[in-house]
Amino acid sequence: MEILGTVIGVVVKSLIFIVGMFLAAAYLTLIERKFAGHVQQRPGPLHVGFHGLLQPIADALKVLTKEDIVPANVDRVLFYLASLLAFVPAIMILAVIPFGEPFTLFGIEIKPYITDLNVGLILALAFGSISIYGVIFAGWASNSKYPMIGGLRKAAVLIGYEVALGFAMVGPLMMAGSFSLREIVAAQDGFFGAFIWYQPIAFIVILFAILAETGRTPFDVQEAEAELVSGYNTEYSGMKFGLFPLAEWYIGTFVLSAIAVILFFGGWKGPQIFGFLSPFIWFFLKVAMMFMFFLWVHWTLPRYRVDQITEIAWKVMLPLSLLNIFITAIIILIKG
Amino acid sequence: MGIKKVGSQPQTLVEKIFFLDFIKGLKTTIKHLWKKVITVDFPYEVVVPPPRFRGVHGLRTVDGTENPEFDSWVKRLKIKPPEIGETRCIACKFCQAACPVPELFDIQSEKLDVPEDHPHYGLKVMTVFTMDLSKCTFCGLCTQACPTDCIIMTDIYDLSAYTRRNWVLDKDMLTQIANDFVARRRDEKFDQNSQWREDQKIWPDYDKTREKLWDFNMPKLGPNYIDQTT
Repeated sequence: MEILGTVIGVVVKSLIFIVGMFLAAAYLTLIERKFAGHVQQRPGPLHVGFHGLLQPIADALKVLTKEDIVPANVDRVLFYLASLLAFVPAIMILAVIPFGEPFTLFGIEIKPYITDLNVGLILALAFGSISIYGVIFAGWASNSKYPMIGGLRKAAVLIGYEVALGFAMVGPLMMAGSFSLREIVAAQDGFFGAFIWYQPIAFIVILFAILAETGRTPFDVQEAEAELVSGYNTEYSGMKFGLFPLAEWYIGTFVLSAIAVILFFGGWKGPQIFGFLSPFIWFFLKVAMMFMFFLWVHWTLPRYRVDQITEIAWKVMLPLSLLNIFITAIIILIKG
Repeated sequence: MGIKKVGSQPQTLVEKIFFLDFIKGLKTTIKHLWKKVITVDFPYEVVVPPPRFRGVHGLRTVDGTENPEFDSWVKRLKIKPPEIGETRCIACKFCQAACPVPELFDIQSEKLDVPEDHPHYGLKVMTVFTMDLSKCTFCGLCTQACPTDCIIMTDIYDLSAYTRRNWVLDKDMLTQIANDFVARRRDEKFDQNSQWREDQKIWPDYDKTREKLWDFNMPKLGPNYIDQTT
């Protein structure tokens, strides 16, 4: 009986998380388009609903009803697999992200997370890396030059930033002493307990890595519109196309922002000023600010070349993250 | 020759470490985020063009603001003296002569069919004035050639049409366009003699911005601006 209850609880929670993430991603597109518009002093979506509030729904209907063209000479298995492979792991990262501590509502204990694995962070990293395969497969399977170049570029960049990302996460992990995201949050006490004060170098490296992983502007070589038509997703259409930006730009950025907030900004911790909802409100506030920061960077900076990105990743970010591990280790040794 | 390097100095170490250029860029975008939207929501908002704008043509009617030579032109071309509200066109075809695409005009005049003792016997009247705007380049030469200030350019720029036939404007349509425009914006564009107002002329004496654009050091327009070598 207890197992059945757990299974039902997990299924219901997964459904809530997935549906919620879909809706959130839809409205993140609106936020991004509004932000991009106003940065360029134009209004963005304006006419569907009040100031474009219904635009995501219109877009979803449009992209779902569009003709789905599969070019003749593509590698069909990989072509179909690629868009799913980009999308599903991105949303699977949600399985390990906690949104708060367990609390009791109407006598039922509710855990606002699906699982609390003791390897949560590694699982998130792994899923993030798998979702990159979607991009590379799409580039390969399309059997066309622009997607091919885009996929190869992503592969080249991937090798650089993944190493730096992995090493940069070691710093906060050493201070927390655990891979579980809940315990990492628990290790950060108070305003000055947040790891951002102790790990600024790791934070910068992780910002770099998240921008590169989600393909946002300074590192969006895989879909450089000016050079490759649309990069790896040139041959895609309909919802198969729609899944790529949804996965990379919105769900990927949101989920990785959540991980960055958990690692550096104390997750859901904050003054208890909103009652029992305050952990959620603090968490989403922080994640939203993180997300807006990525949007801000995206709509400001021009694009790096592939060789420049790999150069930064190997020659700057990797030594910085190793240095960070070294310094953290020495401080932990001295302080005990 | 070699490659000439243009632009700023190489980055200093401090700039490299603290991403100062990134921060400068981020500052610029966040400043623009709060600025007012500068685009126009076209079908719902319409820009009012300046008076000098060269839009769809119109044919003005006689309303008592003709230039002093108007009567002599009417006499010379043996046109029936127009009354108030009739077109100013005297079918001189100067506009067609000035036009770079003359076939877009179709101007015809006919002698009036009246008995010999009628005061208008032997005088002509303009009967057909058709313009095919799909061929027009909107250069404005016809308006400058017109001796009676009849053909003008209005501020209408919405030229979209479902068929090519809709771009061919006839006499009545052109007259109506001009009447609308004159009722709306005569004082902005024309003076008492239907000429362009003094401050509307493109003329160095009146154009205050031109000197500014040349850094208050206007060229005398010699060959290849040779007088600007100093």
